[in-house]
Amino acid sequence: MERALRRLTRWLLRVAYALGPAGQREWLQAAIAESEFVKGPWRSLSWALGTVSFAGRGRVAAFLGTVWEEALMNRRTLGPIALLVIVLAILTSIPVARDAASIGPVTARIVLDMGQRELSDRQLQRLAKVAEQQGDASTMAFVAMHLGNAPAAMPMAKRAIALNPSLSWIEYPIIERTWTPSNYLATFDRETAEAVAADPGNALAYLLRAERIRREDDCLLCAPGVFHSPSRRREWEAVMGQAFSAPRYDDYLERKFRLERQVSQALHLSPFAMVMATSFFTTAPISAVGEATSYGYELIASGDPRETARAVRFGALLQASQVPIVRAMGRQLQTRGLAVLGTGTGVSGSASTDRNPWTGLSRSDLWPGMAPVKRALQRSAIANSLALLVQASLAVGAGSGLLVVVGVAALLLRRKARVWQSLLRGSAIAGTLAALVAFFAYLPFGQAYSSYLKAPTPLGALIAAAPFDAFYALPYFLATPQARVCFWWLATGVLSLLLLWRLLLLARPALAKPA
Amino acid sequence: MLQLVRMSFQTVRVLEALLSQPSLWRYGYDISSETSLKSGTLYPVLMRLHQRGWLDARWEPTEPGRPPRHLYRLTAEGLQAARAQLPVKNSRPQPRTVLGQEGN
Repeated sequence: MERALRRLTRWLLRVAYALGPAGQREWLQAAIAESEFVKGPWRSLSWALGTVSFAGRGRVAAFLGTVWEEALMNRRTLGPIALLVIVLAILTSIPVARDAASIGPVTARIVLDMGQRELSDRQLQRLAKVAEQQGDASTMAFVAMHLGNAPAAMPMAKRAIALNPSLSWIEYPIIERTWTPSNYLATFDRETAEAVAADPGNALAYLLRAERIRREDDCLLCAPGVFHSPSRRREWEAVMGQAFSAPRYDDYLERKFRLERQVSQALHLSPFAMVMATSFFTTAPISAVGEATSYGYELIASGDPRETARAVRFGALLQASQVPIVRAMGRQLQTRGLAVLGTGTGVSGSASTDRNPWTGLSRSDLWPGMAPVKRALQRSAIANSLALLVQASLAVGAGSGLLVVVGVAALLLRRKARVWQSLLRGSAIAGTLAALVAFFAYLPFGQAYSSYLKAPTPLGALIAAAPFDAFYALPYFLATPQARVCFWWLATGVLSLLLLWRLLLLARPALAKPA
Repeated sequence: MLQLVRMSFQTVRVLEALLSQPSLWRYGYDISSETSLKSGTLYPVLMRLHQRGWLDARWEPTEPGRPPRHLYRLTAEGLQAARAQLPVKNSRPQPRTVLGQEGN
């Protein structure tokens, strides 16, 4: 053991001698010579380690210049810097912190960019341009699904599909997202026909076509199944028949979330703003499914067991949906049909006339996942406090960088090592505090984001993480873009003044004491 | 005209050690033992004091097979500056300003 320690000591002393700058050789030789007289192997090792540190710092100082030499060759400066490095190394080695930090820069940029929470169309199109050059169909599909400009979205989607035909389903979210009662795409028929051709076994495309026919009848306020035009009713029935005969129902939501997770992770985008903003409430063709359910009730009401069995089967198909309300409507249809089949009679009472697909559904059926989200939002005071901590830590972190910038400017006028010492020490302490506060403030967010990245089905994990939307920006009471921008300016301004004041204290001429 | 020199508490401890027997040449390891400073802290301090002209250094030959040793002693200027500093020092060494002569 002792022999090994002595060998290690000798090796360290050789390293120190090789590492040290030429101007420091005599002093290194002195330290190395002294090691011969140090008693005990452990003390010798400690002496050798100190000598390596002396040589290494001298090498850094020789590289950086004479002002830095005095600033750096000081334990009061090196201590905080070493602490910062150690803290950052520990924090960045924690997977949760790494996940949270990976989306930090983009998130900060988005927040600072006039307070917008999502990428703008211009930013998305810039992403798409790069993706097209690289032949990256996934990113192109992602952009197409998020572009606000519908006429540009579909051609983009088609180019993505041309590169990767398995992405043909992305037309659905685009059709659904851009389809509102007052405005739907002129190219809708062609696009739904393409969607049917790409996946003919899916009932979803037929439901969308049925919905289109329904809207063309211009009878949105009519009772379910009631049309102005008998011919349109027949057309609608034929398409509904196809939907009820389709072997499966797939709203592609899970695929959409997987694709969004993959792309947002690759681009370091935060899913909590980007994905959530355009995913949950726009993709599900709830209206079309509602029409289909009411059609199913008509079939049950007809009293024909074969038709009732079709309705039951369709209700079972809807259970495959990722959208809770669609599943609830399917379950309701199935239950009512099975009840009729079980008794072997027609439907009596209100069930015989009630074709409203919403009857019997509770609020929790509409969106069961929202309950925990709502509870979490009620704890927004905590979220807000944490968000403020994040802001504060970012401000302090930015301030420590600013400190160095201001310091450089000051040193151009006064090259004082002690100013550097103070600046370095202050920056390191501020940086360490910022890192620790940011870590603890971001920890719940990081955990939510990590579970989202790892979850086999991203939908549930994203719902659970919904409250952390607050973490990107300011608390709700400051959530307007103007307030956010003002906050940042205010924070930066106050911090700059504080730093300037500190700098003036450092740089003022020292007062001589009387002898 | 007097000029202020900022000094770390490690430097103050080294000066104290050297000032205790100002005429005596001291080895680095001795100073380290007396001040409890590690080599990585002690030698930068000694180097700076030497550069400032407060410290004399010389090599002392040793027995064959062993390297020569470096010895240190305060210069007259260093002695004056250290004496000016240390009487106002409290029991706990702290960074402070010290009266030195202009041009240090």
